Amino acid sequence: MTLAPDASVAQPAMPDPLLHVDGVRKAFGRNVVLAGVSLDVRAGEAVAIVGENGSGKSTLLKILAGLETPDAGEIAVRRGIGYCPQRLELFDGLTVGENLEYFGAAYGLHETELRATGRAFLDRFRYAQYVDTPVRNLSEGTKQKLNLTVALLHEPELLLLDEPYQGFDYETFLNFAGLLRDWRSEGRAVLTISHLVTADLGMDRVLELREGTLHAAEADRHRG
Amino acid sequence: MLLKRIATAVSMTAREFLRRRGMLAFMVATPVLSFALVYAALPDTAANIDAIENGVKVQVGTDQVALFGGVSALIYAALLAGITGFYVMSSAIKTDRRLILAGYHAFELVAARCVVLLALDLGITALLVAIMLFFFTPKQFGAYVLAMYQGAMVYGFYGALIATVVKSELGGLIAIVFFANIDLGSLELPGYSNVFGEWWTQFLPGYFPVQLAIDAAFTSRPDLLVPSLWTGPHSLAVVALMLGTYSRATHVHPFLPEHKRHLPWASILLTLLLALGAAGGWRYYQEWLARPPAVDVEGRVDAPKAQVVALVSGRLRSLEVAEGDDVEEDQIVAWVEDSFTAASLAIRAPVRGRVTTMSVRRGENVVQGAVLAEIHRLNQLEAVLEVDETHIDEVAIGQTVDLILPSLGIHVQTRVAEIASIPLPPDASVSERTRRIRKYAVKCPIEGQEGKLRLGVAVKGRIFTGGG
Repeated sequence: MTLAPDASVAQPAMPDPLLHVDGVRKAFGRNVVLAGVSLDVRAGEAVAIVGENGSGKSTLLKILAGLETPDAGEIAVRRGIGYCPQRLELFDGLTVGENLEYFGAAYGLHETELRATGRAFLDRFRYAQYVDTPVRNLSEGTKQKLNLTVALLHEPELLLLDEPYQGFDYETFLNFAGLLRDWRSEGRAVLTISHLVTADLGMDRVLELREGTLHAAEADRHRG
Repeated sequence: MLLKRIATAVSMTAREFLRRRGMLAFMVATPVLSFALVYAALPDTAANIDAIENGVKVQVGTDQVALFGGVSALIYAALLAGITGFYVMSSAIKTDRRLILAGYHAFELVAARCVVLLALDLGITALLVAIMLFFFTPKQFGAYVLAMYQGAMVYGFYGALIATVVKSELGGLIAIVFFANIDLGSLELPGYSNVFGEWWTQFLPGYFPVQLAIDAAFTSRPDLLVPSLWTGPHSLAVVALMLGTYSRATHVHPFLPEHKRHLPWASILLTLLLALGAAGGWRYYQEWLARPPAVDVEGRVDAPKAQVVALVSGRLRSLEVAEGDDVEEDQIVAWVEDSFTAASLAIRAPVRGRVTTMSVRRGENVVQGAVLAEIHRLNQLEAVLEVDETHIDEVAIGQTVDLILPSLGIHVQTRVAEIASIPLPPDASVSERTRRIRKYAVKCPIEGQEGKLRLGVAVKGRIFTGGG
């Protein structure tokens, strides 16, 4: 079965995308990782990108988040994003609450606002009891909950998630899937990359990054 | 809002650092143990160090323990601060990128780290001062503490700067330890370095702190206090450089709309402040360099004195004046009954002045030539200044002298009138090492102050040795 590259190219009738990516290229030395990636993500949409290890998924997401420079191509992000990196990027010596306070200040959140949203996420992912625990004393799964919460704290229009549910127990995973559904119903968009995408997540589109370009993924391989 | 964001970053940086108990214990234990070990090992022998006194290199005699305490405390403070600065920055910089992606400006985070570092430098300075006091007490305590803080400050910022450039933690720490050792431990130490005093060494971070520390530890005049303030602009320059390297290391690409909001006003402001500070500092330093050569000295008010001497042997029939009386030239001071002729002879004052000592009483027998009284010529007041042997050759008759009379709060200008050719007797009240430096009396007239000044009051003088 042959797949047309850039299967995600938007239809003209739809509203302006929250994220517009056109012809993004990136090479590390001679190793071409992205060979012209184009993608649109619209409000209310959930898109998953899958691919083998080393296929360039994380590089693509880093470029979209602004952490890597593309060699060529165009990227337009209409509104604020929330980025959840694959590697934990948290302040190890600070507690869960302090990390949320720190990132809340970065987002420019008011104290009351921060307290309310922070509390909601702590409850939703069931780790409120660790609010005063330093990050370095948490289990890997709990660290990942915080890693994800930091990306969600300011309730962004577009979420860029890199392997967001690694280490989650099944219940937390279902909570996370429920959260994604709620967010999309509010008109927010999600772009997630993972080596594993299940039907529970209810993705609108699943794309495969292969040989540097995006392809519509084969349903039997990736949609459980 | 900006201040609140910086305050949050300050508080979080401080909390993260202070929670590293193991690291803090290590920071306290290392200098305490090192000093204790070296103290136990040091020989109890004399040592010399070159110091700057009145802009001239002099050798000060001290002992090994004081030398180690005075120099090493600063080196340890700078080294600890450098490691602290490196640690504060390197432990955060990876996660900082996410903070910046979330909306922090690089300037805000650098400012917060600097505030925390300045506070930690205070702690490091206090620790090393406490340790140092077991070894010796610097002659100028305040200036010594300032030198140590300056060393800690500039090295703390260098440590943080290195953390923004070097990715390997071990590599960064090695760089700091080696650099500090070369700069503070050898290049800046007079007597240990052939390049000491060369112009380019002044651009090393340790130059002014080490010079001020030696000056403050071993001499009693703050020669290098003002030039040492140059460490301030130097530190600011390091911070500005760090802002650049930090921004590079945490760069977030500008196609994201929320990052277009940030104008680089903060960097512009800092650069302007830096330029102003540097210009001011440079001018100050140049003025200091261009100051006329001078020797600062202390002394006392004195007057030439004359003795009233018995011309014959005999009995003192009467005394016509008392201690404290003013007398005219040729005024009768006493009558002596000549033991051979029984005639009464008048003893007269040789000069006009005040009777300051009366060494005999009425009815006493005196021999010919005995001193009956001393008269100070109060109309010819003079300042007797004590000049160290290291400077006496620069002083010449006729040089301008500024005198400050603290007791009157006045300032008079005069000239060098007389330079002693033999040293003053050593002052038994001062320490052995200070006594090794001989002092010579230099006399300068004080005019127009008759009746206002007491003999013996302290006077400070600055002799301009550049010319008459």
